[in-house]
Amino acid sequence: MAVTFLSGTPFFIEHSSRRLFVLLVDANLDVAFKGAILHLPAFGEEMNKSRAMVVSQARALAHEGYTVLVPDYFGTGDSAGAFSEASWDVWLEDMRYCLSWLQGQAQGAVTLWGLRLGTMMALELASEAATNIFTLVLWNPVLHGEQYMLQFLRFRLVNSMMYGETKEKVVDLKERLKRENTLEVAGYELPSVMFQEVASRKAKTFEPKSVKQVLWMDVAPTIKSLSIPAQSLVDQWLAKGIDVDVAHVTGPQFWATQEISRAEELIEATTHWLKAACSEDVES
Amino acid sequence: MVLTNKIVVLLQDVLQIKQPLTEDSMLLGGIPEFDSMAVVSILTELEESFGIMVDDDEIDASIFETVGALVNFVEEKI
Repeated sequence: MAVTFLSGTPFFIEHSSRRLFVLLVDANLDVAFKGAILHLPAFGEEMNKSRAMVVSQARALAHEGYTVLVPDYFGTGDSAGAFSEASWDVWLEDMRYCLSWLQGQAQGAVTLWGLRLGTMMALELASEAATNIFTLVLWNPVLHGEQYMLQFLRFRLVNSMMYGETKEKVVDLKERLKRENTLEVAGYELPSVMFQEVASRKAKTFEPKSVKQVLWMDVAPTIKSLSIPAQSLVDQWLAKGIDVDVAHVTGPQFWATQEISRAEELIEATTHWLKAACSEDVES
Repeated sequence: MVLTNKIVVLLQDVLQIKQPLTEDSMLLGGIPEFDSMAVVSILTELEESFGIMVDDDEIDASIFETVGALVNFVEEKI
């Protein structure tokens, strides 16, 4: 699908003296406007690896009548600041601002679309009293912040195993992080506060009260069923009356692959679902 | 054999390689794609796919020497 004319407008949003780089991909004017979508990016290298996929998805949705805002978190991508100055709470505050900005532009409810750790951000935003979020799109959600942070520290441990004199231990790395406030991991100056804040997050503790429907997409090279914690979270939401669609598609896990890769089926399925979700809204 | 096949598929998926792998195939040092990023991804995939937990102390170059060594490591954990 070549939708090159919907390339998007890059600009900066200024907020609390932070300059955030955003890409606004405007809805195709030839079709009826369907709504606005805020993307919540993945973490660290996963964000860089997934940039092309995210923009492709944003363009495909814009083609169907959605306006999509793709921000770079503070201290990442083309936004101002250094990663070492970033924290989850700062990101959260910025995303809250992006959300209200987009709500103002679109004059209506905004769909949140998160990737990996960005799904945690989506859930947290959707759980706040002030937000009116009806629809969530979650791509390969990260459910457990602490586990995710420990996996991130592993980059350093494995590096020391492969290239270093002595192999480091995660326990020691955690100690150093506390002592020195930042720790270099895979080219990122990870701040201690970021580690603590992400580690304290668990998907199952969030109550996305206003949410009516969730699209949970898992992409993998070979189809697998949901993990036990994922299934229990889905059941928890279903019991609360949230409509949860779980879909598995085959494709590369583009946020982690060696080379930049694309998961076409994921884009097609997500676009298809959002198209249908929107027409249901109109009918009801 | 079933486990070996599963791990071979997992390795091919993570490393994005198509070449056939046997238990004797060298990983670390044998496959150019096998870098630290790949090792972390493989560990995560193994934990998620087989429901195992890999302790830091167990992460050692020896378990990534060959496909067979990795299979043995997983076999002892499940």
